[in-house]
Amino acid sequence: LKRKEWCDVAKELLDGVKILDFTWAIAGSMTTKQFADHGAAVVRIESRTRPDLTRFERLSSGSSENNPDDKPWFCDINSSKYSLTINLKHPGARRVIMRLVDWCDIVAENFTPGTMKKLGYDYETLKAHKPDLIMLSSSVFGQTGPFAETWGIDGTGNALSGRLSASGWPDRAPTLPSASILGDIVQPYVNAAALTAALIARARTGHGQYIDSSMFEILVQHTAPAAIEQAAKGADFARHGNRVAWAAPHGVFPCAGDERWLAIEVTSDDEWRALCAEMGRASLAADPRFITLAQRKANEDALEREVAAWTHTQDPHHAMLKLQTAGVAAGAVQTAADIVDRDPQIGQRGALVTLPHPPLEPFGHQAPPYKFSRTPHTMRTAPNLGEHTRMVCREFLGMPENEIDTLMADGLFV
Amino acid sequence: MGTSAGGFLDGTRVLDLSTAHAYTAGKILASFGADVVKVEPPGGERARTTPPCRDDGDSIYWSHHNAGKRGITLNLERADGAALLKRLAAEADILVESFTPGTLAGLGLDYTALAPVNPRLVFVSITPFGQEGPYSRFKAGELVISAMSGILTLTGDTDRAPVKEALDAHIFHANCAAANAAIMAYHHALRTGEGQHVDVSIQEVGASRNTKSIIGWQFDRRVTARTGNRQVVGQIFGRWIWGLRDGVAFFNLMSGKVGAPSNRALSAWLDEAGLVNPMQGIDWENMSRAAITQTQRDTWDEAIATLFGRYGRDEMRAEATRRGLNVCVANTAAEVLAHPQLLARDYWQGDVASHFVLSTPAANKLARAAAPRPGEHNAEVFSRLGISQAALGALEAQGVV
Repeated sequence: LKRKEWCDVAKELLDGVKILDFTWAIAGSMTTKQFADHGAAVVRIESRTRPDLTRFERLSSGSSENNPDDKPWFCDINSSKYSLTINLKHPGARRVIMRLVDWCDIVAENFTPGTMKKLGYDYETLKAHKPDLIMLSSSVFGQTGPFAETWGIDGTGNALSGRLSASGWPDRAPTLPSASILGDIVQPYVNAAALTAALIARARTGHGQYIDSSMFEILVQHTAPAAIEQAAKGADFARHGNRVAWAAPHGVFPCAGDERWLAIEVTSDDEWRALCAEMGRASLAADPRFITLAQRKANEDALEREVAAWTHTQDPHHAMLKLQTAGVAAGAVQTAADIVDRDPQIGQRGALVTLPHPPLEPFGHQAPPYKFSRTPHTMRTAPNLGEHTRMVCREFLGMPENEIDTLMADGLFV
Repeated sequence: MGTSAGGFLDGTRVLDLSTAHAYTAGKILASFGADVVKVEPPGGERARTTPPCRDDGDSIYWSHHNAGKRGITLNLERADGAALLKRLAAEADILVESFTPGTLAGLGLDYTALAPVNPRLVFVSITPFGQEGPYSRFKAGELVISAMSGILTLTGDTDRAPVKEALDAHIFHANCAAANAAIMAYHHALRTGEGQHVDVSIQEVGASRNTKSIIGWQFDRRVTARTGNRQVVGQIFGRWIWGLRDGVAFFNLMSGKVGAPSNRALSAWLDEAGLVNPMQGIDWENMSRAAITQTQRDTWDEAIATLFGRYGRDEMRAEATRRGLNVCVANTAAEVLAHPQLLARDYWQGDVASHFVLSTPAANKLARAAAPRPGEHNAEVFSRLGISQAALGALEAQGVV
């Protein structure tokens, strides 16, 4: 490895990695969170005039309309980072930003393509200043091509990739989860993977990299087989509800209680017999409509009625444990309440880390959803807007206090 | 092998023991230039027939998600097969596996067994619920995992059961997360000489999309429900999936400055179309979609639905572009494959999606678009271990490879 400083003992996974973070909105925040929660120094570039979307969307009580520091969603996806506010249009901004470029390994941004060029911080400009810079531009369509400058968000990616058209019941219009996005949460992992791989490449070759990430392209990695299959038939994406070709029953069944459901997947005849036994319906296993997968698929409506007749008296978690013990794949359809208060698996993994964030009550922030045996994550409270401006200038840039005071008085750091 | 510009991970060796929950992690690593060797049982794994399939029976699913890998066969249940795997692991940088926890331990091939052979090894496990804990050995495919992650309860119409979102979204998502975790751990191993075990729970990755409803429960004891073609913002339901004359479109009415240009354009369009316009006279710059009343939102949604329903897909695309309106028409399967944006970015190699990101100077496209045939690379991979052609023939005859 060419870079000596790399070989200093690294206590945390990404000790010593430095990111200048121009990202805003969800996909960008999630990308740099993966680094910050594992020990990298991530400095968010923010301003009071262009605040992050999630600093203002009021989703829960405890959040006010105008305080940028009391939004739990923002806190969740920006844990462990530093915030520096700066007016990028101020004549003194460029000198500070370029010093931060010198300081960092990685610049990350997810503006609409073209924005960084307008600001004068596009890759070509920054690379001329710092040849081994690694830079990520993350967008819905990518930085090149006829649609590069088209605006888009998470749902745009769903519509573009076929994910929207393929979700839901065959006899109804498509649907999507009511409060859970995908593209904005998948793309960050690919972005973070590419950035870390680029650090490895830099250590090997001495070269920096420019990474151009498109949510559309990442989602089509997922939908391509279905697109190929359907297009070959001259058909559009198909919706199959909860059914699949290779298993039956494969569905979501009503349980006792209000809006309680159980998901069951039976992938073999053995599992079908085990399910019948657990349902106390051994005779059903011998029913000629249901013996083989082909028969169960041919009589799937009747099959699902038989299973539902049993589940509707059951508690979903109890039934899940019973079926799993018998070797049948089953899972309670869990709400957020189940996940937060009840699920012993999620609990044991420490998926939520309680952190203080005044004026909010302490609450469970989401941890990175993978565990490293040697270098566990260490999460810190997300930054208030501009909280670390002075600290970053002093500690990371080595600015004397009086210079910081002068720039503050000059209205640069707002 | 190798494209001229190479990839981020040129020279990195990956041993890919994936079953159906873990194909894509290796594909991402391969697209970044790693040499990914997929290990299958002799004859190839059963999942090679996972639907959708071509007319000749070959799985489009399997070949797409295993594209770019080399392939060997090895019977891990035999001691001599396991011994060969250990020798391969000794030279690997990253190992990816997705067996039920405990399976590899039973074969003497878990992280504890391989770490002494190769202390630098990054050993990545991708399983439905993770390596430890009360649910760790549960059986689960996409549907059961999505039930447990909290995503399924959010999806579908209120008058029917919750319904699964498209394909195996959780599994795909978890593989992207796993690829990142693998590379971060590999980066650490290069710096320190220390590998580690990376434990990815697909359920937990799914729950990491669930931020808004988890916040809703923690702060307000509010359970977020499924709402068909609407999304939930705070406590307000707003439509975001719209019917067109011949298709479907996505349009998400956004708050404040971000949404203002589109919302103004929409209001002007309603006027121009001579429709009732409840969106008139709103201060869009300061509108918060979480702070308006449900009644107000419903009147907007009704007007927008009437307007959009008059247009066909291509008309809507043209109008949205002309008016600066952030409506995205859902592509058909054929439109995805022929999308000018993907073609302009040289996305397809044959019918395989060949990159996850574009980059320069590293190319980071798959060096080969084909997925391996069973045992296709046995000779070249095992010869690296010093196993002769004759010895390999003997191993084949014994059912080891």
